[in-house]
Amino acid sequence: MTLSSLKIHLVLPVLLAASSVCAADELDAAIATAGRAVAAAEEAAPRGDAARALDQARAQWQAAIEARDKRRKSDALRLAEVAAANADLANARARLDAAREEVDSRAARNAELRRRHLVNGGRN
Amino acid sequence: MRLLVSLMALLLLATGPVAAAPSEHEQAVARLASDVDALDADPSLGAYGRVERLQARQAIAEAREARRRDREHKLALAGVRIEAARLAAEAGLLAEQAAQLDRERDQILLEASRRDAERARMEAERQRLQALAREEALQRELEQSEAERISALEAANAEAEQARKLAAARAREAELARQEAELAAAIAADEIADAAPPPVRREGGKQVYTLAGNAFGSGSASLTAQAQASLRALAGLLSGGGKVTIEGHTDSQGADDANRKLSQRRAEAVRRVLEEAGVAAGRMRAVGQGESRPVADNGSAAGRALNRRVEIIVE
Repeated sequence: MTLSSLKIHLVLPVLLAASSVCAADELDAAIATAGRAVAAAEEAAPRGDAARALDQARAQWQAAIEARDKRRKSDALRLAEVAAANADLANARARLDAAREEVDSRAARNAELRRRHLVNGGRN
Repeated sequence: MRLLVSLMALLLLATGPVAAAPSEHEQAVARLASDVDALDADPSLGAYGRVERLQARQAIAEAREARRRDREHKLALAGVRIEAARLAAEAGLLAEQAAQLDRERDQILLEASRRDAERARMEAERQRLQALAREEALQRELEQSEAERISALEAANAEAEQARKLAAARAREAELARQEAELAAAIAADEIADAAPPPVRREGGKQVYTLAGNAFGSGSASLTAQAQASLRALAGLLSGGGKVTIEGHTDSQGADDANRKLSQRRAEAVRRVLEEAGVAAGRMRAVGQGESRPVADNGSAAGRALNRRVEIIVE
């Protein structure tokens, strides 16, 4: 056994182990990020398209977990990333829907206030 | 050495067609970056969704650096992130619009409150003016009532004063009348006390007493007190008995019938006085002769005075 071979046989397993640990950390972090994104989107109470996007994100997140458990790390990482992006998209769409409803509601409220207080001179 | 050169040439040949793939990839990445740039430059959306845009740019960067097998996946992720950034920006814009609507609501309520206050102020002013008008009207009514009361009081006082003066005048008149009556009574008493029977003349055995015309009021059959006293003095002379004829005469003024009736009433008056003075009624007869037996000329006042008379004829 030469010195180089010795290096290779000693260092390579260490590097492989370290790489494996780093990959596992990256996957867990991605899955955790996706989980937080799904939870945040759920708190936004999405409806319609947003709800469907959230369902899809939730399913992808579950699939990522299952893939990780089956040691299909590459698939798990992709699924986690897609789940996080779709959850954020569902969250944004839910906030947009809520904001649109708020605007419509407040515009109607202002119109009623204007009619009651200004147009009719406070006489209902 | 030749083997190494050959291997490098093969590597270059192998990578030659592949060099076109990153170009398409870069184009796709550039389109995504352009989308984010457009979102940044949007005047209405540029200020919103900064975190999501940062995530999108990070996703684009990852796509740009992605290995071949991950490129499609990363490009898709970047596309989703860009869409999320656009939605987040629109949500931010709407949130700002909602905040603006809240400010507008506050302005409406403020304006409404200001108008309410203005209306309340005007209503208070109207109420104040109405109260003032009512107070002035009441004051006018009070003043008018007071004036009427004073006027009525003055009228009552004037009326009372008038009544008092009238009563005083009447009292004064009554007092004067009483004094006059007392004076007249005293004079009459004196006259009566000194009264003498009417003048007498004799005609053929008869005594004729003549009561002059001034014994009566003008046109009246009422005897004066002096005449009554004179008749009572005569009654004392007639106690001896004998028939007594009482004849009334007038002057020629007026109608015959009226003169006859007046002379008759005057003769009756004399008869009543004599009767009251004690002369028996059965002895006396009253006759009205009117103007039929003048004793003087009716053409003169002196003559008409003599013709107006009552003669008491004692047989």
